[in-house]
Amino acid sequence: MRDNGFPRTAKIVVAGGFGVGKTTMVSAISEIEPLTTEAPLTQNSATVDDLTGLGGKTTTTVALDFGRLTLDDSLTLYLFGTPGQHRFWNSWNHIAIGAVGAVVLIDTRRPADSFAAIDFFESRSVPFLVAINDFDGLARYDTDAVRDALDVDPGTPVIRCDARSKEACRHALLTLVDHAIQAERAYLGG
Amino acid sequence: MARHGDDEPFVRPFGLTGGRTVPSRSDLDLTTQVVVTAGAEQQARAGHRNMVAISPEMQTIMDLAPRPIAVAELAARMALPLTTVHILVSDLVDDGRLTISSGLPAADSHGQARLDFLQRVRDGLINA
Repeated sequence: MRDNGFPRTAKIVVAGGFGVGKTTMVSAISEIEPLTTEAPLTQNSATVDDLTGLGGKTTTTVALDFGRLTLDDSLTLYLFGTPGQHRFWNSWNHIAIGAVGAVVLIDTRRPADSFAAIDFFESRSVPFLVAINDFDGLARYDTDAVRDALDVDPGTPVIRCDARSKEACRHALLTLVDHAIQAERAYLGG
Repeated sequence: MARHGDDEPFVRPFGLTGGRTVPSRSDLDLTTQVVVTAGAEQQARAGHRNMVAISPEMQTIMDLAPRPIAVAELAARMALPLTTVHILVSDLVDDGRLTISSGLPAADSHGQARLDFLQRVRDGLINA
């Protein structure tokens, strides 16, 4: 399974609004100290929702959380935590291409912060799940209510996940991979 | 670690790249892994290869890449913006000092290969 001795790489994106727990989740799973780098983002003017990418662009940078998990001797998983605002979409393509899938973290106090991320992955057929970050243990809404509010496809998993817990995060990633496998089987007509 | 003070790099990022803002190569992704090319330094020292002198930052990249390492991890470890590292890595690949991982991950295309790949990721997660 090796390509000229190089480990293959797998990529999972952790998306969500500001302060929702992306860094926490990447840290919980990563075997190395969580790292942050700056990615260049071609940014559309925030006031013009121009998805063609041709309208007044400026370039900015955004913090990108980065984690790594060795899956076996020739396969390494990279986790990227990234903000999900509309104005970053152009650059999201770069991050999402070739990804196993995405975890969209939501805070039930601010569910609207995750709408852009959900739209992005739905429109590009990137497998994703919605994880309600349950860090305070207060179940404000059950998962069905959240599913209704977000209006996601019935096949999209909606789960609870304490982003601080390695086990909970691993479960979330496993659920995502299972979902991606199902989606691929459906695509292949099985 | 070209950090100075809070968030202010000691040398501005474009100073490390000769003012360039676009990498010479477009085949590098965030997760593209690079590794030091076996024997390249020895060939250069023996005069068999004509290589340009490298900067301290390039040397740091070489020091971090005895085994395959992703471009994003290099950027994070060096506390430099991705684009800067992208440009420096591109130069090192062009120069033959670094070799990039061949082929895209299997997750890129649909089909049985992706299914097998996803299954491997799943097995890895269970055992990790």
